[in-house]
Amino acid sequence: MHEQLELCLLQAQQAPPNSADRDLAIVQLAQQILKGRQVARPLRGQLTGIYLEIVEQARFQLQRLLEQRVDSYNYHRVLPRQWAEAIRQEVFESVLSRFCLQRLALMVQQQQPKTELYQYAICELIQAIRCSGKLARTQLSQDIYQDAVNQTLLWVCQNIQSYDPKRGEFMAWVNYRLERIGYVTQQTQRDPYTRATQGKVIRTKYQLNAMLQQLKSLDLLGWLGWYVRRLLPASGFPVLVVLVTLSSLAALIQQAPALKDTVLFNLAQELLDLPPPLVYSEDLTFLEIPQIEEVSLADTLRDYIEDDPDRLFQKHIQGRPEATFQAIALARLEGETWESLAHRYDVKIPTLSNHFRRSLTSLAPKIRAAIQQ
Amino acid sequence: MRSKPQRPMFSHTESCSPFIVPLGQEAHEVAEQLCQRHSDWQKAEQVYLNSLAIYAVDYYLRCLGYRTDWKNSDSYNAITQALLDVTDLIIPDYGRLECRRVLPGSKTAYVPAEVWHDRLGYVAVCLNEALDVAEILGFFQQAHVFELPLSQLSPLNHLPSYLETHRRSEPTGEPVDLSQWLKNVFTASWHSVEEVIAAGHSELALQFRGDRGAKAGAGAADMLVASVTRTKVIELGSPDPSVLVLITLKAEQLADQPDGAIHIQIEILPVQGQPFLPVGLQLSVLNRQGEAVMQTQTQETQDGVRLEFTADPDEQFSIKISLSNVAIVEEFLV
Repeated sequence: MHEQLELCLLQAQQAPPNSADRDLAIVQLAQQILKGRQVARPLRGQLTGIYLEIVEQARFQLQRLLEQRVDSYNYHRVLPRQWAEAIRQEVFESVLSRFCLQRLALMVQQQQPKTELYQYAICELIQAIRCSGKLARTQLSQDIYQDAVNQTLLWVCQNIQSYDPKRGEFMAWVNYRLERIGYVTQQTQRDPYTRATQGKVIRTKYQLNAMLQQLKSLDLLGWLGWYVRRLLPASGFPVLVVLVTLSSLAALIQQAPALKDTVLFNLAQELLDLPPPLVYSEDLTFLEIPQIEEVSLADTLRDYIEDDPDRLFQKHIQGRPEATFQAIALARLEGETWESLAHRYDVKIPTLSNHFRRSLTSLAPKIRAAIQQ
Repeated sequence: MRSKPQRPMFSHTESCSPFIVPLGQEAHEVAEQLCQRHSDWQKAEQVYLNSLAIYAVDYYLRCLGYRTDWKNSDSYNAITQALLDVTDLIIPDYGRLECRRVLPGSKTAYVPAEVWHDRLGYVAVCLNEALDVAEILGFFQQAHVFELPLSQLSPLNHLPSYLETHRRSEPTGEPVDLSQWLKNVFTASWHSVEEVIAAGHSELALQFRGDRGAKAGAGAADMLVASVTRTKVIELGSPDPSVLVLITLKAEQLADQPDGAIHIQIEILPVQGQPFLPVGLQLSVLNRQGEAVMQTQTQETQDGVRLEFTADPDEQFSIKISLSNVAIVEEFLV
């Protein structure tokens, strides 16, 4: 799909100006860009009414914009996909006017809840509001603003029937709520520094991975423009340190792909835990992940199931006395696969796994009560 | 050379409309809390990503007006998380929906064997590389293999109507008046045994009743005045088979109890074509306050369960039939 976009873009640039070939290339390019849209999607292959109008308007505006801009596109500055997304965003911000959003809201009110048409109308409305750029901006940080928007749109879904067009414009109704929810959200936010670090480590690992993905496909400078601005102000990593580390990492990982997971986890920890985030050195050595001192849930669970003081875990699969809940649970904690267990006990995988899950769901409250300190 | 496209031509992928959920601080805080109990990094990562996927589906369902109960789902419980790769989300009155995450660019969704049963369906959720956007792609109705090709996804648009076919019968609020049955006034949803046989739901029912009914009635023959049996097919939801519920009333008239207590026998039998009842099927009798006063559960290869008790006039009770995530309650008045 991305290659198709690139191909269309190339064809449009290479076709002679004012030729039929160029017109065709522009039409095809617009079609490619429209494919990735998040609003006015067909329902059971059909587009009708306002949804069709939105697409047709977007197509018209998009073709006009492309005619003006396609020649100035520079592959070395920005990826085709990002360029296309930016233009699409611009077009939909224009097409999804306040009036258009109000019409989409009234479409929802006409549908019976929990039907396919309702689902379609409400999802279209939500996506349209998000793409329209008509949501009020607030002073909130990006993550918190996103929460406030999510909550506001959920509130819109739950209260859509009480919206009355006679009493005011739809987006004014939405934005009034957004401001109030934003205020409350900010009040209830926890201090980010008191939050547990484990989740942050995992998230940072994925952010780093995303950065590495970018590195592979782009030269360092192009990547710098796109990603660093986006991530770094929020996390506060010194730009140069991250850059140098990442380029070394990319090289390291290419040599030993299996190490990638461990390296990323370690790096994420380093970045978050140590006061000067990461000191660059020639040979990039990373510390082992320190184990948490207290007894972990997995260990407690393993001990309890192994000892089975309350004789809870001796039930077995019919005809397989050795396939007790206890034996399966311990094997699962060791990371044994269902295939291997099924082979060992000569039982089909679904029989085994289903029996185990059902037993566990019913035993879980007892286990929890027993191992809670 | 292709002709100039006049009308939009929609590819297969275009007809599936994903639903986008940006993952803000709230989503990551929930995921963080849930993964904290696991010191093993791989498990913690699994729980973290699973939680983000469930968060997105939970948000989507609530937008559509469904109630959800994540807190009581296995995916919210540290113990079940530790032993299973589970991403269920309970939708009260419907069942459990599994929320499987998909890697960007992947062509399949991974569904572990432990969740191949007792699920309404499997929603595929794509998390982007930086974990700040979840894209709900569509759903599978069933899973029997580890990797499900995304090309076979049902469009998300179809989810509400699919869920509605799995909605469970709720107590109507109006209890069935059993004393009327003894006067041959019956409730529409409860049928005679003959009607059920005619409808093809069971041919074994009579035989079963012949065997065991005789034994039960033998000692009480002198007090047996009138007896009536009505029956109803109860759907437990896919993939479990339906079962047949039989209620037999015997009006007792004892010398020292002239007010006419009723002897009630409740049986569950497999429907035609099923030799046994599903394992783990639970039958409970609840008192007016909803507390279980009697209970029984099926073992392997059981072809019927039964509970018997005596109720006084004006007594109210209900029976609850449950199997894993399904529970059906029927209310009665004597």
